[in-house]
Amino acid sequence: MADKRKKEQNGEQNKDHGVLYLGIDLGTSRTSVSASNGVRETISSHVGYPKDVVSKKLLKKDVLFGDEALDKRLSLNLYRPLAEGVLKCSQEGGEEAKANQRAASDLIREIIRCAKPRSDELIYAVIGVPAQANINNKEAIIAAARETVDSVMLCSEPFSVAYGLDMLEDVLVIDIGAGTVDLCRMHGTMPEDSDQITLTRAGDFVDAELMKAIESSYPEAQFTIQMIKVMKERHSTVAERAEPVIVSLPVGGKPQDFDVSKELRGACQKIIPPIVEGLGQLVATFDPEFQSKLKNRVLLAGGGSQIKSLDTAIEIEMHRTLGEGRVIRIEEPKYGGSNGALKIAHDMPEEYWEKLK
Amino acid sequence: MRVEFERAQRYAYPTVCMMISVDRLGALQDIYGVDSKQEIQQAVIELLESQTRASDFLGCMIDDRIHAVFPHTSATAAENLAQRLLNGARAMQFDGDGRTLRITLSIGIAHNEDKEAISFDTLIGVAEEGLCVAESGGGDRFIETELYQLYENNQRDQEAGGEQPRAPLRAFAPAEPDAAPLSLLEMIEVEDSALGAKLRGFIDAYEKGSVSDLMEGQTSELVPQESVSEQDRQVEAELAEKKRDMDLLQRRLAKLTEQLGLTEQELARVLKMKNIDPGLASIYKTVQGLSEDEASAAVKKELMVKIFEANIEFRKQLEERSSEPN
Repeated sequence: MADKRKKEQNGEQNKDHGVLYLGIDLGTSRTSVSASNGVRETISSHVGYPKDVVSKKLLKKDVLFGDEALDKRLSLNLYRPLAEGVLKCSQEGGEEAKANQRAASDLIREIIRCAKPRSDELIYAVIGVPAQANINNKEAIIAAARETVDSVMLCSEPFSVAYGLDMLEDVLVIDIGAGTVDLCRMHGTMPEDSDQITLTRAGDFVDAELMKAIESSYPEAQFTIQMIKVMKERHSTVAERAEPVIVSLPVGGKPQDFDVSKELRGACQKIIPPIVEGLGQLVATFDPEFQSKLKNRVLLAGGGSQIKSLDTAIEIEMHRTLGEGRVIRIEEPKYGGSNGALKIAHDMPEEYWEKLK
Repeated sequence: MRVEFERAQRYAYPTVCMMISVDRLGALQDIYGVDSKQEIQQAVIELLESQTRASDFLGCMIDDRIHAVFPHTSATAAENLAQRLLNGARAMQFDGDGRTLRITLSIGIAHNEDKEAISFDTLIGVAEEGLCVAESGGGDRFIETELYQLYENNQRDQEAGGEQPRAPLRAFAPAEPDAAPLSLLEMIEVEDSALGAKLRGFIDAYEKGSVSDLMEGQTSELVPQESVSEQDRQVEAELAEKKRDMDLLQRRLAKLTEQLGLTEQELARVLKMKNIDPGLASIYKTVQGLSEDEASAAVKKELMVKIFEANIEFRKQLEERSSEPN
């Protein structure tokens, strides 16, 4: 903000060398950006600040992001500014809220920096927000973004996924994130509240369930939620017949192998019933003439879509409860939302950007 | 037809003369009778009429041959017409004593576009020669000859010498009706003995399997051995020089590339030292917007409006909230 104001005072408003479009997907676990200069980056949504002067001197940085922040978390005050798809700072609170606000601003600034914008180019950004984000969430996101971009718009996250794939009519989008699973019904126009359902049983829920299951099965094993998350991201599957998942966990300081196949599969499978139930609600309230088409055009997106055989499992459950179903997994789960947001930014007319500056 | 030809000459428009005969018509008559012959001839005339406009030709039948003149017809058009006639004849079927008969045509073509085609007799003669060549070649074809000059020269010679003009290119027509027609090689030997001898030599060599020797001999006669070696040496020398130039350029290129890499590294180091990141330029120099050619452009346009309106509405809500007294 200070840089921008200074530039304006000095008359350095010479941004006529091009237009950089940014599509940003703010996620509970990962934040991604796709830019019109070819850059695509994704970082985990963690922000860390050195705890004291000593760690600051050691780290040689004022703030760390993503995996770097996770690696050095013992020396940092670590923040995860988004939870269940919304910014924590938007909730009422004292110092904690302010700290999360600052972390959110820094995270957004960092993801924009990762896009390598030039100072002589206009930056127009579209940010995908969770389907049911409230006014406080949106205000916080816009405030953070406007410090570094010239004009910013918000749009629904699952909508941006569908827009990016040109699937705008008779499509059901399942966007499985860490904090939420967003179900969105597309029918050729802007989705309304009645077209969207947000479920809180998502990636973080799977982590918690897996943690409980392993604790129950192997009480002697030592692990953290971060280790569980890594285990899940590497081996997650809902297939009944899959290779055994053997992980190494310390027991009393000594590594030991554990077969966590059953626990992992069980935890992952728990998100399927609410998803299919949500799909059923969206189908049941749709035009009966197009319900069959809707059921056979289900798009699986988000980081959680990488769970092996999840698409098949959802299809099987849909056949059982809804009579039919076909699930298509998108090719780039990490960038589906940001790619769609980029496309929206590209297609937005110039006059709209000008009015929102 | 003569009058038409003279009119064409006077007004300088193209005219074509065709001689058309049914192959082996005499043999067909002998086998299947006169009625079959008449039926075939009538069918050919009808074919001719169907392939041309009514005013397109004048014709008559002489000695089982159809003489036709096509005013306002170029040589190219005549060839196309002849091809259509051949195709049409091939498609015909006749019933002869319970057997299916098929016919083919031979066609000779002459046109007045050649400067030596100055008389109608020339045109007729050239067309007849073409027809003879077509028949001699086995039929089912058309021949367009370019023997106008020969015709005219013969005519002039004969008239100057007071002799009866002889039929030119007698070799192209059988001397007697029952005599076997001359082969193509024999015809060429009659016309050009030197060329005919060379061709006969080539054919003999081919039959003996020694064509390559013959070709080499022919080539050797044309290109002296010494000059071939000299040329080879020159080419090799040029190639070697070009190769040296290429090597030099490649070395220079490698050096420049290395220097460029070092410069880039140094530049990156300085930028990093000063904590400067110039960034990557966008591929767009101006604001883009939705293209009209885009699929579902209308739907997307409306969606853009909705997104914009939602953001405007949200900004208004924020402004109202911030203006409310606390």
